[in-house]
Amino acid sequence: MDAPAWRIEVLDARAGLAFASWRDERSEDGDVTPEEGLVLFVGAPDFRPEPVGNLALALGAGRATFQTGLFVGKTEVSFSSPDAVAAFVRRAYVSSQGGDGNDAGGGTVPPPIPPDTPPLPPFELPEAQASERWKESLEFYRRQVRSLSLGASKATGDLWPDELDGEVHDMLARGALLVLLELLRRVPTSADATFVKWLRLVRAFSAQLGSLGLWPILTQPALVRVIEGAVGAVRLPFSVPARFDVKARMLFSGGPSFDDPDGIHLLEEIARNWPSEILSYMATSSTGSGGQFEDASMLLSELPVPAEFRSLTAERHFEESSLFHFFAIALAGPATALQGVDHRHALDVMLFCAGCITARAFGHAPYFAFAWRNWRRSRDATKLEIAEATEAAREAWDWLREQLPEEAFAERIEQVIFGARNLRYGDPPVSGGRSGPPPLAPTPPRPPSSSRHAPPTALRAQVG
Amino acid sequence: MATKPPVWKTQVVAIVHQLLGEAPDQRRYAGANNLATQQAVTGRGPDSAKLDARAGARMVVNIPAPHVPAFCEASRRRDPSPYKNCYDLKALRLGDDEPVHVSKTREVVDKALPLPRGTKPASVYFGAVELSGSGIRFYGDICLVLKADAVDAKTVVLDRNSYDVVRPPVIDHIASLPKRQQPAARRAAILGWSGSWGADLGDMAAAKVVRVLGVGDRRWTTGKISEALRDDEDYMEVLRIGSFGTAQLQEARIASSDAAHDALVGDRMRQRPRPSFTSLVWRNRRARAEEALRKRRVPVRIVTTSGRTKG
Repeated sequence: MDAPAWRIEVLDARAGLAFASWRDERSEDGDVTPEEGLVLFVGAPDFRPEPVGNLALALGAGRATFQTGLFVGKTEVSFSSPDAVAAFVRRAYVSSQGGDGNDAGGGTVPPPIPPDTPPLPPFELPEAQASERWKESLEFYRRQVRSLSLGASKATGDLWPDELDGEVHDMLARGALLVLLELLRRVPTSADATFVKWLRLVRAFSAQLGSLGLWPILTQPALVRVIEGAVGAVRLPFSVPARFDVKARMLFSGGPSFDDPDGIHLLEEIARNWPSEILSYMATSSTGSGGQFEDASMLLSELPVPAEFRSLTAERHFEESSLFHFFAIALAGPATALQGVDHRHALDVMLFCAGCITARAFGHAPYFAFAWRNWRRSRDATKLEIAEATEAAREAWDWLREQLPEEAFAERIEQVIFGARNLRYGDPPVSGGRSGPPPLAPTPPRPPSSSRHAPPTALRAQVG
Repeated sequence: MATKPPVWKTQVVAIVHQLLGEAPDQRRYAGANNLATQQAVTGRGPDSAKLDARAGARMVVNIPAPHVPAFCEASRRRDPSPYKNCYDLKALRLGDDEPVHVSKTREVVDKALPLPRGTKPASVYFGAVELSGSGIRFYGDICLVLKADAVDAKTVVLDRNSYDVVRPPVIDHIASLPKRQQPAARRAAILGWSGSWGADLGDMAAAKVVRVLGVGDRRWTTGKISEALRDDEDYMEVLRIGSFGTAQLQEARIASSDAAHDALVGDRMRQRPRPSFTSLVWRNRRARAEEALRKRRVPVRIVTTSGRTKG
């Protein structure tokens, strides 16, 4: 029998609620005898351990949603401190968010991929410089996890860097672009309310890009070609006889209804004859319906996760996986969840998710005005525009690093945390998907380096 | 050793006598206050013998917000057990399955419950008695309140948590007995805490409340009675046979402290510092829970101060 340690009496991981006591392993007759009467409650949303006076309260919780004990094989899991218990419960809670909706539906989900949607054409994404510090931190974390025995944990301290190195505005833009491509792929095929909903989401997303100062970055020649390719491939359920830039403006900003040929014609006439500077200012007064999300979590719940990360989320209908699902799973256990995926793209998308939460003037920026002008002229972003996006990325990282694991656990426990995404109130899932947590393998070798001053190499990718 | 449930009316008188000692002049206040408790719990007005279906104590269960959409969905599709107990929940377990011996304590307590003959533990759904509070926060942030007619009059009520039978001081006495006598001793102990929802609830509540509030020459308010009835984590347990769905709910309640935290998270989204991701998840799930409940026409109310419920 093991020495006394903190052990879980009852746990509802999805609810972020647990009782733990300082005791030996359970005896064969199931008895638990806390030493010195120490019983703690840990609960969402603050996860601060607090003492409770009567173990009966904990045992009574096992009548409903709380599981009794926490086991790996036949071993009852132990923790070294109340803080370690709290960190485990918090991370499992966050991870479980990655499966929300898989037992009930409810709430909003990303637009579905219409049947028979062909993959978008291959696009060339200029490779932004990856963050070496992020990569090193992640690798160090994984090494630490592999070195820990069951029951041991280690505070991460200052493991996650204060600042990311590399071109952070490019990372933020790349994350946004990956989401944008997935969103454009999901254009509904019918001209009805589903199209209106999709369009509203595209414009809200566009407003978010404006708040983060990303449109000047995304409309630089290298990136705008990727967007043009994607927009060009979008099969709208209308025949829109408009120039490309007019079509883009209608998608991302607003304008006449897509089924109003006279209005579209008028807009095109204006675009053809009026000086672009005036058009830019006009666009600021017509910001579409972009600001309807008061809470960034609601926007993230509707935005689809890029295809390359979809399999991380719960064993459910993967197409319904949102950025909020992905972000929760990645934050709860980056060592396990991001195993086998491109850690640079993962950071890019995580940074974008964080940016949605930290963006200033959420949804109220004159987001597309100058972007449209850039689009028409295709120029590089100015120093000040880059500075604005860089600042947004830094603020996003400042917040993001606070949400990363505060305590590393043994590999098996990290996998248990990852598994929380499949918890359900009801029967076990029947659909397929990635069933078990992936083992931690050594991090794959880094692709050819791109130093700060090296010319960007092309990373070929395909959405599909 | 109890061989049948107590006569709760006699119990209340005995407790008052014990508390008053040499201060019989306060007896009249004690009597009036106990009557007030009984009236509040059974749904009668202060000077009325008439039952008001809108008032009175209710069975409540606390459920964490993340499970509420699934509970509502199960109610919608007429699942036989929309609200689930530990026997219904197979996919809510993290890590590996518990070894058999882990649930032995629960089995021991289940066997001691004074349930109708033939009742299987899997068919029992546990709740608490609540007047106008928001239940036991430790078990979940959404308090589901059952309608008055959703609890059968014969439903067994305990004046405390049944697990107290395996905790000191009760366990100390039982453990001192020979092993073969212990099951009967546990049954007797729990029987001594039991009564029925229809016949005994008012007196059981009065017995509990007078123990918490004591005696004196002041009248108790309904808020005080409500607080004492479910005093923090000290609750009266209801052993309902059979599950229930949203159709059996009168309302759902949330605590004002949680509502305040909710609002703070929203406020921080507009200002600085931005809330933590866990706070965002928590708030998002609570919004989803409320949305699901309202879709099923279950009103969601905030308990603004102790014992007071506002819409």
